[in-house]
Formats: sequence, structure tokens, C-alpha cells
Amino acid sequence: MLTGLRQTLSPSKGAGLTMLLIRVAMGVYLVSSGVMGGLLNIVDPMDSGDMNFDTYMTTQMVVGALLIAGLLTRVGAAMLLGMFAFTFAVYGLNALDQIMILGMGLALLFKGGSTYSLDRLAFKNMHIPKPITKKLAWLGTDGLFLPSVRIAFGANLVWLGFTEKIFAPNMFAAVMEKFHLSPIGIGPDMAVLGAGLIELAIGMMYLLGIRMRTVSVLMFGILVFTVVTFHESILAHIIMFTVSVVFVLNGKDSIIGINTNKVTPIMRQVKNVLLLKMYAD
Amino acid sequence: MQIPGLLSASARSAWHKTRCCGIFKKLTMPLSAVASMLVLHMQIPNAYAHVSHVLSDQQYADIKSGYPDIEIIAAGMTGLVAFSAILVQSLQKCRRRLERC
Repeated sequence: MLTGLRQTLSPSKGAGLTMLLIRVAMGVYLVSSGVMGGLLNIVDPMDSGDMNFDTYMTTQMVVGALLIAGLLTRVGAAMLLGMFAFTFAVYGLNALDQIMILGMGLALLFKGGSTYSLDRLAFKNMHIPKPITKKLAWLGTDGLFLPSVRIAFGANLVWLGFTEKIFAPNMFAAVMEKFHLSPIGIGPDMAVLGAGLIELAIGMMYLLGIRMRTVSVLMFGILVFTVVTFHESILAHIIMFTVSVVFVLNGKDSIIGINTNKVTPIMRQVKNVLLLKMYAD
Repeated sequence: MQIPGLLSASARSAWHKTRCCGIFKKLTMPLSAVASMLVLHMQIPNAYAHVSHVLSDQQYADIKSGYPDIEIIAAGMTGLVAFSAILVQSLQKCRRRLERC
């Protein structure tokens, strides 16, 4: 199945589809956030008495619409990055809950609208002088769009693992208690720690770019479980869903430096030791 | 044959058979469509819900009140982890480039 998928997604088509997914997810998130009255946040609305409240909401919705349509994508991306920087003034360090938006913004800035966008239609015949295209190619930003998403997403998972589970286990413990989710034979504290460690491990794998397809399928499963079990919204997790789909489609990116051939024997050794302990007889 | 080996062999054979018959291709689309419809049906009524809304406001506020100190430590640690990961990858990329030269 994956071979067929790989053949269908040739590099050029794959990049177009990836950018379409990223653009639409980011656009829908921005419009929803604008409707809800939050700044890049659909969970905690801003104080509507703020002097610039209307400006923030309108800007978000306009940028969201531009990204969905793929019109002036790089301008929209620059505005998105500006808004992300501004969220620190509104939410403080809590803004790091959405650090994956930084990766999405950078990806959109590096790659633009790509194949399936209005930019492609509108500026198809525009002539860019050769020295400029040469310089842009030298910068190598084209190949950085996937790594920026991957690294920001990994950092986001590590951050959430620390702040919502490992360092502050009360919230997740209360949620588990409410939904009677305590695993058999494990205390709630251990279960929360386990969940936090799993989140950290997945975040680390994204950061290092190890086994991207497998990890992304696992991440997608965890997200579906979270959304269905805790009755959370898809909109609040739309970026996470999109990033996992993007890495299921693309697998590894251009700057992954970890050689998985070296990691696999170590993992096999760990598996053998575990099996030996389980079936010692 | 030990149990894990037996299980893995039967799983591999089942996987191979389904792949050969192209069942995956036929099943994936309708199954994902049904799954998406089910999830959307469940989700539309609480489109903006978040785990914080699962708890009462007071409960959430009590838990969040301990955050300021934690956030600084967590931000530092996340930054350190992310920076180390980027550094490792950059070094490996440099090494690979040098090996190629």
C-alpha cells in the first residue's frame, strides 16, 4: 500500500498536496480562532475589552482566508509569524502551547502556496529575474519547509508533555478520574507519568526525525483516541492531525541526520532483552 | 515456536494476503469515510471543546495556579531538548557532507 502511495506522491505532487494540507489546516484554525475571539487560540478567548480586539480578530480571519485560498501565501505567512510573536504579549509563556504554528508559518514562508494555490494561477506568467532565483536557490529554503514543521511539532509535544503531564500531573489525573481511565494495575500518578513520557518520546522522535511514518501513524491514533474519548474538538487539534498526516505521506525530510540503520539494531537488542525477561523459561 | 514468533508469523502472513488481494485499497476509502463521518458527527456539537473545558472552572483554575514556575522550567527544558536535536542533526549533516567530499 505504501509503495503505491509513494508512487502516487511524486516529489512535486507530494509537495503540492502537503502545502495544500498545511495551508487549509492553518487557515481553518485561524478563522475559527477569529470567530472564537482568541489570538491563535480557540480554547482561551481574549479579553474583548482590549483596545485592538477587533483588529486582531479581523486580521486572523483575513490571513486565514488568504491561506485557505493560497493567495499571497508568503505575505499571509509573514503576518502569521508576526501574530505568533504577539501571542507572547497576550498569553505569556502559555503561547508555547501553540509553538507548532511557528513551524507552519515558516513552512508557508519557505515554500509559498505551491501547486494547488491561487498564487500559482495568478503569478504563473510573472517573470522573476535569474539572479534572484539563483540567490533563493542558494539559500536552500525550499528544502526547509518540512524540517521546520517537524521540529516545531516535536518541540510542541515535548512542551505539552512537560507542562500538562510530567510537571503538572493534576490536570491529566483529574481528566482520567472523570472518564474512569485508570489502567489496571497502575496508579493514576504512574499512568500520568507514563502518558507524559510517551508524549516526550514521540516529541523526541519528531525532533530527531526517527521513523517518521510509524511515529506519525501512532500520533494520529493517539489524537483520534483523545478526541473521541475526552470529547475534545477536532478544530483545536486540526494542526496536529494535519502534521501527522503530512508525515505519513512524506516520511523523512531533507535534513534528517539520524541514521535509522544504526538505531534499528539497538532497538532489536532492547526487544530481545525484553522478550528474554518475559519468557525466561 | 514461541508465542511471539508464532503471532508475528501469522500477522505477517495475514498482512501479506490482504496486501496481495488489494483488500486494503478497496477497504481503506469507505472505512475512512465512515470513520470520519462518525468522528465529525460526535464532534460537531462541541466544536471548540478542549480538555480544560472537561474540568470545572474552579478545578481548572486550581490546577493552573501552580503553572508560572513550572512553565519557566518546562520552557528551558524544551528549548534545550529542541536545540540539542537541531545541533545533532546539523553536525551529522556536516559530517555526511564532509564524507562525500
